[in-house]
Amino acid sequence: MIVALRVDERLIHGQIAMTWSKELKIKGIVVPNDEAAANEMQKMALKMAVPSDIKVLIKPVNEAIKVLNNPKAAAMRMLVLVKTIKDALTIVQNVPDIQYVNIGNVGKSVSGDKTELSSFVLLTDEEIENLKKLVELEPKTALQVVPSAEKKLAVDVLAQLKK
Amino acid sequence: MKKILVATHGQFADGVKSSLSILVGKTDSITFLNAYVNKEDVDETIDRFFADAAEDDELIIFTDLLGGSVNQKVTLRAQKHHAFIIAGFNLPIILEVLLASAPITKELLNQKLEECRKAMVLVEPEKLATVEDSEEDFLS
Repeated sequence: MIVALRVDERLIHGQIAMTWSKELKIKGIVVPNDEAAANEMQKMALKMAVPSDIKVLIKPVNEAIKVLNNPKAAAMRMLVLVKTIKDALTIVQNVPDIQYVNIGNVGKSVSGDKTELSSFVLLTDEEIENLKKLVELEPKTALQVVPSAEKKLAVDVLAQLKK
Repeated sequence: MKKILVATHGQFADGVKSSLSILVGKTDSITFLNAYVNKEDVDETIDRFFADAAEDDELIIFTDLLGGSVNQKVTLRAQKHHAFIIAGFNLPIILEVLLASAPITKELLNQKLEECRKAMVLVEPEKLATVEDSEEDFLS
């Protein structure tokens, strides 16, 4: 069971390991990311961040989708972490029953022209288009950095941009 | 209600506040005492923390040094208030206590402390075995 799909360019870090994992009571974290999956050092560093009672799986996006669709995955409370809205869209298009699509920290490490949707979410035009498609599929997609912070619906934030 | 005091020498406490605001957001239930760096009266802040506590509040105090004067001051006052004092804290133990949903007991604190002591380690990535990411292991 995917309790949340979060877009966070830092992937597994303090907010995830300490705060979200407790709030969501997860047993596993899946990181669908092509670059991280191909880099042993990065995989090690990401795994180091995770509490010992939580399992981690770092896979290329297409392989992660297969794991998430494995019938056995329904029995496990999982958090799925992706780096970009584009990857989140790919997951949503290929995996059903995601309980919460969450936009966390995105865009600070991306260079080029960006629009500020919040102090934690800065998106390129391409990523804004991806977010629009994501919201069509998952209307409850929301910006929220930590569980105690305010949850802002992405659809409302996008509507503000047009003004 | 859970009430936490973080008391340190210098601005360490405010540094903790800054970290917590990133990691968990709100820090309303926590008092931060930066001793000996500004006009703030250390004894007064500690007294106020205890005075503001209700009978059924859970009081947990974190200090930076077991032998330090800040720890001595809170220890003397904590006696009659059933407050728990944790000296030489690290960030993980504050997070564990702050985010704990169960009532704070001596047993719970000892268990959390044991876990969090393990979070202070020499990082030796070369010693970490590179285990293959296996779908089977993950879902088992």
